[in-house]
Amino acid sequence: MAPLEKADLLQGTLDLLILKVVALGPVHGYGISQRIRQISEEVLQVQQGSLYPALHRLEKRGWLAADWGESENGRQAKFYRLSAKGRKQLVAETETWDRLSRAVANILQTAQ
Amino acid sequence: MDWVTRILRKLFRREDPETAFEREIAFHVETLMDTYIAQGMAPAEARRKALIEFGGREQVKQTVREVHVSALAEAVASNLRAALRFLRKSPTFSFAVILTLALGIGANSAVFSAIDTIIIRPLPFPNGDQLVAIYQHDSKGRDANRFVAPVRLEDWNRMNSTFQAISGYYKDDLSEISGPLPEKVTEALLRRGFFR
Repeated sequence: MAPLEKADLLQGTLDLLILKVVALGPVHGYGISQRIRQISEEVLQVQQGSLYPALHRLEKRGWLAADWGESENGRQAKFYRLSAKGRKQLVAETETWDRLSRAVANILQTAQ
Repeated sequence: MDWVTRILRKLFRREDPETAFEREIAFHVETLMDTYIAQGMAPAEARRKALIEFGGREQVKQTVREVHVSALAEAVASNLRAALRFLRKSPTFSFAVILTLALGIGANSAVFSAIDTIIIRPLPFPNGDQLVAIYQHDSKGRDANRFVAPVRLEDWNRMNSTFQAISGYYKDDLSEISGPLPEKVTEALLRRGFFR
């Protein structure tokens, strides 16, 4: 599938995607962008210019915690992991997203 | 004890966020480069492509910086809001605290300004540090007479070998009654050399 333009990503969706990917285990920025791309089957390509500010924002809010560690290729990388607060946030945001997407789907179906 | 050292390290040896982010970017670019080299690209070409793929480095850095600044601003704002809420919630306590602080600060600055002019700041005369005040004291403990007779002042001057000179003044209030209403006039009689 062709990748969506950056603007097509709904406001706040990137935070949700990051929280979800990080919930799978500690991962660095590069890994997050790769996983989002792979899992979305190349539809979602997160720009570095949005990814890193988002990561730092989530870290500042206390949803993500970060530690420096060694990556698979033997380099020092900053690994992000989900905090307890972030786990709660992920649950809440997933719920909001489900409700939103169900609502949109309902409207699209009745409009047909 | 491990957590103690960890906290201390966090407090005192915190890495500059700018350098930390620089390292984070470097890792991303190098890993991209590795991927391209693994695909069979020449290192120089791989590096070029990785840098292009990463995009405007300075722009990303600027945005991350803004995130940190706005997080700080948000924290300050929310603390201020919390403080105001607390003040409004318990006005009596707030008033007591504010009054205590106001009195404390006021008293302190009053005492300090007095100490400053009397003790710390030099006298507003040239060679003020050579100026002393001389009082006389009755060792027999009778009524102390703080006035020094002019004759005695002359005696002191004659016997003096310690000071450059000894001078003195006598202050008195007079009534000036030449006008329609009397006026108080303060006069001072000085020994010669007073203004030297």
